[in-house]
Amino acid sequence: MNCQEFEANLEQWEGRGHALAGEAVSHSEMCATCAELKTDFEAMLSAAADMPLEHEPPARMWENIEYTLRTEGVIKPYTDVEAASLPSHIFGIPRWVMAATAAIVLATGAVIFNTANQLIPASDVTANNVMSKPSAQTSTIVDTDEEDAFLAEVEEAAPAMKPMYKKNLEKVDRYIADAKEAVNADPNDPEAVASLRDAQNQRAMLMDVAATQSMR
Amino acid sequence: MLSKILTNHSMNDTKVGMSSAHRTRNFAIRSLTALAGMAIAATSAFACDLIPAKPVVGSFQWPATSVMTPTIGGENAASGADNRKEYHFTLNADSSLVLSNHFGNISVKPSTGRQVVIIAVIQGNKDQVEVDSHQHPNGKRIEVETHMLKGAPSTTRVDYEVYMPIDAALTVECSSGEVRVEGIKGAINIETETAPVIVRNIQNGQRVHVQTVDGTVNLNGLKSTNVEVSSIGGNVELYGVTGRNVDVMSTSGTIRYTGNFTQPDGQFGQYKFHNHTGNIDVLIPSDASVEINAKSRKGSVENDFPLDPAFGHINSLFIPKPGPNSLVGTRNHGDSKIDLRSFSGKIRVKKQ
Repeated sequence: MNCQEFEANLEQWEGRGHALAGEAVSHSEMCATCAELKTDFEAMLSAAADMPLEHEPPARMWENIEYTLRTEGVIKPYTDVEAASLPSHIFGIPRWVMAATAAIVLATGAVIFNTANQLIPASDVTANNVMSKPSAQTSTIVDTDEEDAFLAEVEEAAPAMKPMYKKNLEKVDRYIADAKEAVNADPNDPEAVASLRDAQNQRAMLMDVAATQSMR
Repeated sequence: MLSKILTNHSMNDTKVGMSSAHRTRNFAIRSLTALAGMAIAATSAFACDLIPAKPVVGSFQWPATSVMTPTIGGENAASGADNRKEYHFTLNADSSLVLSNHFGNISVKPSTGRQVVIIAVIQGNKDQVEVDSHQHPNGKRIEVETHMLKGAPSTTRVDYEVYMPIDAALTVECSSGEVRVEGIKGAINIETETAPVIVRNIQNGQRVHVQTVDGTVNLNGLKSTNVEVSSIGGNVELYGVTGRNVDVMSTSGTIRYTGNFTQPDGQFGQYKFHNHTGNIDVLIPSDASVEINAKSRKGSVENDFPLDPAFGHINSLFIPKPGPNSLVGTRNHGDSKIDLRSFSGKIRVKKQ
């Protein structure tokens, strides 16, 4: 089997969900180029299969997407040369559908990644360029070295204010810990996520007020 | 441009005699790579808005020379006792007053016309206190700041009485003492550490924004005015406060609201009262038109206000299931949206 025949096998068999066999397997083991081609095709098939499709989109949806992509120039009508040399379908699926599917997969991954990154630990809130350690995932208060440094600065600048700041910092840390616990219990709970954001904003506000008043 | 690049690469692949399968593979890889880049760029653009802003912390450098400048920006009349200073300015339209007084009371009221009168009374040794006042050359900004000199005892303070144009913006920084503002319609920003804040009698104000670590906040008679309060330990009380957006957040303070949630012109609004361990008390007259969503994650929700089951869309981040620690209901047309949330405090909705 040569490379041309291997490519023909790849499209006919793996594109229809069948594994390669016989000479095609032997060729892919010997030919690095064809082995790489096979790996790439299998990766794309796997990515498409991982997409959670609960419902088959209506045909008019794909038509609307195609119309929009053509109108915006993302996809172009093929010239005669391109039409003759490039297949309009990959594994029976239109090429533009593959591109749109890839875009949806990437966008979904970006949203999930972004949602996970909303759970910013207290370590991202700084005062005087001091980073605090992540809070514990329980309702106990974490007294970090960085918070001690913050309180030490308050004490140096305004000794009378230190007990007030210490007391309120403890309250806010408890708030953050409780909110984190709720988020850990159910990361998809929008109320819990909102509470964590509120708690972190409160902590940021405390640091901000200290910076503009007692620590000036 | 992206489609052109992809098309050019495809044509190059054709020219070098690449097989159809290879060309297809290469086009797919290039498309995926380009789309991945666009998705990452879009995510980065939006992610910034969801990350809490880091507090800006800097160091303050005292001016090299001490300044007692009662005359800059306008006429001055230093009257009466040595400890009393009076400053006069004229503010243009779209102007602002910034007052920073860490120890002492501050009272702000409207003046007539564009006049600004600032009366500073030093309680203690006047030689250990500086009052700096400065007006920007364009006449749109006045800054007043109290400096305690080294060695000044902790009992030293300066009390301010300020009269300013009703539409000017006001910024106040006060550590301890009391901040009282009445009748100012311009945007108000107040920041305190332990100083109580009292804001009263504002109709059609631009905005009232209060940040306090441990001070109490009392807002009374703020009509058709957007309000935002953030308090960590201090209690927040609102009487007859209405606006399109009224947001109150506290960590341990009690939030108490009395009123009908309806603006004088009949407009409604969105009200959010959130805290961690503090209680939330809401007193509402029976003729109010409200939709209430209340939930205390580990506390309880009590209600003796007549509510109907909520129907239709609920403009809220969450829709809690009715139960001992949650409440959903409407009264009359459900026009104003009330969102009450506490982590472990008690939420009480009562009929006024």
